[in-house]
Amino acid sequence: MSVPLMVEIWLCAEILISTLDKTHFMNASTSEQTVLIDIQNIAKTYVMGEEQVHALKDVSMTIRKNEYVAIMGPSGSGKSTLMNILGCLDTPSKGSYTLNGNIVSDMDDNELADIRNKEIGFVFQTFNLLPRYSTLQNVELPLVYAGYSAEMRREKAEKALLNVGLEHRMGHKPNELSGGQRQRVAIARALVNDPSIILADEPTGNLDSKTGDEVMRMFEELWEKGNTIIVVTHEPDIAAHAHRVIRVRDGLIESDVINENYVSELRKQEETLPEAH
Amino acid sequence: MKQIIESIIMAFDAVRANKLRSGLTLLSIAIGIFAIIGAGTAVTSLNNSVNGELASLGQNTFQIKRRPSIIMGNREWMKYRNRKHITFSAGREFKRMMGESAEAVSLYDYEDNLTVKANNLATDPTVQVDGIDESYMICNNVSVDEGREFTENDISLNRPVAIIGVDVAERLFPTSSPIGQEISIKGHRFTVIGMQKKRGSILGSSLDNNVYIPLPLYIKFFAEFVSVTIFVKSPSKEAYPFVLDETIGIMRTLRNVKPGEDNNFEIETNESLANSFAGFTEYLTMFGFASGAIALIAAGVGIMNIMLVSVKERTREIGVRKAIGAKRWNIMSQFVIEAVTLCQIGGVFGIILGYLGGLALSAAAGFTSAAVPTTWVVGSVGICTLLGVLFGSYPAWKAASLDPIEALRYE
Ligand SMILES: Nc1ncnc2c1ncn2[C@@H]1O[C@H](COP(=O)(O)OP(=O)(O)O)[C@@H](O)[C@H]1O
Ligand SMILES: [Mg+2]
Repeated sequence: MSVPLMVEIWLCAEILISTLDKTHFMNASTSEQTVLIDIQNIAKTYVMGEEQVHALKDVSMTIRKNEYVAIMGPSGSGKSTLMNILGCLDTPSKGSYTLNGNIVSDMDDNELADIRNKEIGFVFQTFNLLPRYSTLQNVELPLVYAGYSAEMRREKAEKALLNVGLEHRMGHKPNELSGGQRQRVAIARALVNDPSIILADEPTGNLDSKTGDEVMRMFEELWEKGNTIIVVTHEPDIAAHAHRVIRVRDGLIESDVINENYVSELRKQEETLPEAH
Repeated sequence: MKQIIESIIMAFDAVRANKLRSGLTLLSIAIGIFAIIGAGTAVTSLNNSVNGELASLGQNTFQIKRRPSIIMGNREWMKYRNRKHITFSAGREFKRMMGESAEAVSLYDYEDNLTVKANNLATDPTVQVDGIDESYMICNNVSVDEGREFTENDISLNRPVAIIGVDVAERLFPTSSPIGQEISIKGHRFTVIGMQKKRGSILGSSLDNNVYIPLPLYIKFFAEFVSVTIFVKSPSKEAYPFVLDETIGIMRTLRNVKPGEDNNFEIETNESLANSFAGFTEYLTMFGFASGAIALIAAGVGIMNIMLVSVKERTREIGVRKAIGAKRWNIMSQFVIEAVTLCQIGGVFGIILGYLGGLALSAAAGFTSAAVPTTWVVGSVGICTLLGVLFGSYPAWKAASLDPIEALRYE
């Protein structure tokens, strides 16, 4: 039995126990062993001269292994700030952050760089590929900083590109690829060092809806393979792919719910898998 | 390793991206290194050439002169300007007083750039006429190939005789032997009695383009108020210091130097000549280094500028690198290596230019043995590395200190 399937069955069990009370479901999950992200009372304040911007006020949540989470909210609500903190690109002004057992909120620059390299795969709205590098070189780059040998780098990068269906574009430069292909290269780069979590901040923001859908299907596939995924989006269509939706407003979590579609899907699965209990 | 190669490739990219600015900077590095290597090549060649020449000068011989051969700067010149001449008669008196202490004492003076004629042929106005006596050739390791040397009588009886150099002989007597022929200098006639054995050249000028005539006639015809140079040859190496001491004593007496006063004449030994020559080359070296250093500092500022622009242009790239796990050190070393590579590119041009320039200079000066100063080349590579590290560190530090989010947001 594969790990994702086990998790699914476990999820089924959870949902069945708390069929009516979703909040209860969330609380129950935080105590589990497989917690990957645990943030408590996170706040982020930007100081701009006299003015203070409270981008995040008091945010707490936990995310378990192999969850697929969408973070939604209006522009300026603090989504990116939250993502940057989760991605160890930024440090919170207050609160604690534990990632995969590491207390990230106490780390210095270099330790954070190491965490970003090994634990996190970041996918950006604007792709952020290095224009002078080929597809393969772009995907290899995290492995350069991880200290892999040239052969290992190539092997792993080729595998990651195969995963996103771009094995035939390895020598191309970013400007020779379509937007969707570029984002897939970025996803391959995020995957290549086997991170424990993939973070995507509006990954479809620069893509047309068809290509956007393709990219989202790709995240779904990755999730099926056991990856943990957090996607920031303000498009409900995109959020529909996720299994849990966290809404942010004015630097606070407004709601944190299991996706209805997903719940009904799980219900269906439950009917076909009665032996799971 | 991969990082280093990558940074080097990046450096070439940076050069390509900013051709004009990079070009100017690389040029100033090249000029700086050129100045250093050029001076190095010239000095090394000069040293080889002159030291070889000094070694072949008469052994155990030194000279007494009114002024040193190499005078550097105006202040030095003023110091020597008012010294009393060493007249021909003073020279003769010295010779008499030295007596048997020296193996040979020779009085000498020369005049440059004269024309020598014979029959209907004439040399270029470049011939050196040396007024010598019978001891000159012993003191200076020169000898006669054909014919004979001057005797004491030739000198004391003012015989109008001459010994000519090979260049002059070839010019005036291309088909026949010069011995017994007549030449004229400024209308004064001399009979050729000998031909000097070929000597070659020093610092680019031929040592065979000359005519020897007896010193008294030389003074009478060409230079009435002269300071003669006195050559003294010690009978042996062991006696040399004693001969030197005695010479100084006699000269001080002859020139009324009071006890405690400095000599008002110069004694030049091969060693002291080599020393003052070394002083000259040191001067040249310092000049090369100083001008090189100025050019290199200018280049360093240029490198810093290029790197700062490069960091600015690649802010987003730096953000991406940091986001995917580059540590401070990774970014820092990337840009330092890039700066060093830039400097090395300039340095290679400078070394090539400097080498060619040094060779050209040596060739123009006619040094027989031009030399590439290997240590200077190695030094230049070192200097370029230092330059890159020195002026690349600040931009690299700036790059490494960028906040990843700010950098990623940079447009
Ligand atoms: N570097 C910053 N300096 C000052 N204010 C910032 C900075 N980054 C974000 N903010 C502010 O914090 C708030 C949240 O921003 P952000 O997290 O980017 O929102 P979202 O991604 O949800 O649109 C906004 O009001 C924004 O203006
Ligand atoms: Mg945002």
